Amino acid sequence: MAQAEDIEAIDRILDGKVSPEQEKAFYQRLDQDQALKALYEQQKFIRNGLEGLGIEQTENLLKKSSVSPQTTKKNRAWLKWAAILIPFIGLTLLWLLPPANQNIADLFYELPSANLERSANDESTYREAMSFFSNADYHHAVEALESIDPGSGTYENSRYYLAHAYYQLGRFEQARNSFINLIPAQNQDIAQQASWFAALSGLKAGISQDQIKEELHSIRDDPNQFYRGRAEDVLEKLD
Amino acid sequence: MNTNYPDDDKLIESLKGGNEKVLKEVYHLLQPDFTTFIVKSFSCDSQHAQDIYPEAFSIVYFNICKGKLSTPMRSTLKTYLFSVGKHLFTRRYRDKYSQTVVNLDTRVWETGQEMVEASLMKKEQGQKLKSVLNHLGPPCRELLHLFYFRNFGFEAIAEHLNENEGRLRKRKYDCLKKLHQMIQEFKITF
Repeated sequence: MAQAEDIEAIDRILDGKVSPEQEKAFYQRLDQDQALKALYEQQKFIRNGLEGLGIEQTENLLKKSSVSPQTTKKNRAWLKWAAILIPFIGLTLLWLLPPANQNIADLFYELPSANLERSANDESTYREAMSFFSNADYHHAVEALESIDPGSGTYENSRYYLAHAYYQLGRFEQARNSFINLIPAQNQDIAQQASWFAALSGLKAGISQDQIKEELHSIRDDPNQFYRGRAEDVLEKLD
Repeated sequence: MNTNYPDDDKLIESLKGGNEKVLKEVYHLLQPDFTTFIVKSFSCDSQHAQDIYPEAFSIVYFNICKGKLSTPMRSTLKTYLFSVGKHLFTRRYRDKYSQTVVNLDTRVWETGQEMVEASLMKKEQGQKLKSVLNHLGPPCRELLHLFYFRNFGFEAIAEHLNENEGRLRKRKYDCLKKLHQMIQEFKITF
């Protein structure tokens, strides 16, 4: 099992933040301790992978911000067609698309991955539900998650995924109520996410904008809330 | 501090601590010269030069965040960017174009090569890590990104996330522990 002190020691070595003596002592220990060696290789892989994904993420961000290429004869012809088609497509979309607040929720909603971690407390129903959830079979996930007993050790998690499954099925009012019930959850991570997703579900369910704004303000003003920046972004869009 | 390139040093510092807006501004600022340089070096289509620009810039930006390119600069930021661009271009279009002009300082040329090779290796490992990372919640992903990509320390992240440093240490460890467990559970090879 990864130990906090070992991970910190590995990070210091990989960042070159140790004296030559400390470095020598670490590598001597590494030669004798196979578990530490395995942890070292894995930590190096995690760091490299996170850095690689960061480079890719920056690249994608910059690509999106790139200016469009200069107009050539070929794409001028396309522009003529675009000038005719875009207003038509735009009007059709306006007619087809749901109201603006619902679109704002779509911009910010992020579906969590199924919790595939296994522990001794896991029950077969919960594992089965997670399997349905990860396969996007939300109808069966709802059935399994609704049947989990409130006394179960996985109850809080199951309610969290149940709320997302409702959301995926377009049952936004049920999703919102389930998220609201999770706001007092023991697990702070779940509690914070519940407040945020309750507001997004509210936008989708067509709850009054004043009510949602009030909820978003309290998320934004909570210094411990992870989603406070995003709440600010949604508030800007609503204004 | 003695510096030969004060303007570049300022750019590096602003990129290092800067936000997305600064990143995009510098990116657009250097784009025309980069394109001209690559087109001149390989006698290539400007579209090909533009295609590799986001990747070249991201590699340089990463090395600034990691402190591998730091102040006082020994050469201009643009020169490092050109060197990375040349190596990237050579790798991608080896069969199509050959380099016509080499006019970069050897040290900068070698640094550029190291940056490109290391970043390609890291991107490959990133692809392997991606499937596992998707199972972590957004708070964990953001926290690890700030630590390992942006290279922020506990103090800076605590300020950025408005969180207590002690809690942050615990959260970082919990996220990493989960990630280590999942790598073993999913039998990811590296």
